[in-house]
Amino acid sequence: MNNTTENTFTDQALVNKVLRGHTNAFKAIVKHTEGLVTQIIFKMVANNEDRRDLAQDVYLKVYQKLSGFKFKSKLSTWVGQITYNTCLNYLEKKKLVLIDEHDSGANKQFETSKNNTHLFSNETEKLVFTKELSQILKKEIDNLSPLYKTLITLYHNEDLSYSEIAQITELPEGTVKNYLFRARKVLRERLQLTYKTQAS
Amino acid sequence: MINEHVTDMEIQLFIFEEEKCAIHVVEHIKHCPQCAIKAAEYNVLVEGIEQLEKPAFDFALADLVVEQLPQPQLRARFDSLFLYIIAFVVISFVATALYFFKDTRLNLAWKTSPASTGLIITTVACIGIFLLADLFRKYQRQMHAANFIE
Ligand SMILES: [Zn+2]
Repeated sequence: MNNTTENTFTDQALVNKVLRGHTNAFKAIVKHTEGLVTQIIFKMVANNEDRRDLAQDVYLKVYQKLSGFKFKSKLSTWVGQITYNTCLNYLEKKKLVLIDEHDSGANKQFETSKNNTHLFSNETEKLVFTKELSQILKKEIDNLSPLYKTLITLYHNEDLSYSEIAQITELPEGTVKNYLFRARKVLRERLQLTYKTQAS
Repeated sequence: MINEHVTDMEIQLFIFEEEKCAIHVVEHIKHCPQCAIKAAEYNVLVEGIEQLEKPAFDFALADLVVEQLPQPQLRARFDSLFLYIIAFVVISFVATALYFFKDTRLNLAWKTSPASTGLIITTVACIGIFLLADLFRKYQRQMHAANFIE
């Protein structure tokens, strides 16, 4: 049995149990998906109180809509989609942007100085840089637009495929790839700037 | 001598989907120190992202969610069926009693003993109160669930 079939089988068994009234099966679904849900909420929403409410909202929606789940995707992908949409509605209500203008295009400031700015000049410097990296990186990821942060996290931390990310965000796969490319570029450029500023 | 460096997008493709990368790009990155450094920077960047601590809530999400779930649908359906049966039995009982005692019901208070009158009134009142309380609780629960989901 391959992995996908096995997943669908487990998903189906869990969903059927919940529909028969077993709350413990729903608890298992929450435990199985909360990592992904938490990642999406933390990347899309900055306010801690709201994150808490949204997480509960997401799972109540999942519970309400569960009988309509058609097993066309993994259960976790479907839960991720509900999470993303819930956060999207939240951003709209709060009039917050999904992609900031500063993140959208190539940064002219970096384009002009691209050839003489590097994070490190040779391979031996790499280890020294890695120690500082997580602090600067965490801050710079926080500064990215909600959508960019989410895509970076889904791809690099949750190990989701482009197609799964496309299903969650309901964006075409090409757009997901394009946004991911821009997000990494912006991140690299900002790291260079922060690193350079700190070094000088 | 290298005249044209490869683009940022090509370097990312080299790092993240090397199998889709054109041979001339791979060759260029291998032989151009500047582009090789850029590629190495993307590698370090991704390593850094992967090492970041995963966020977590400071409360048990699963427990909190399960506590707030509306009653399972199956149970709710059973509850309403139960409620309808009780209502049917009570109405039938009252209707039958009224039919059989239609001639004497005007004198009911005088002819039955005060104890049985009291017993009948108490029973009917208790069932009535129970039904009303249950309806009210169900209504509250549904309103709570609806508010939460909106
Ligand atoms: Zn080059």
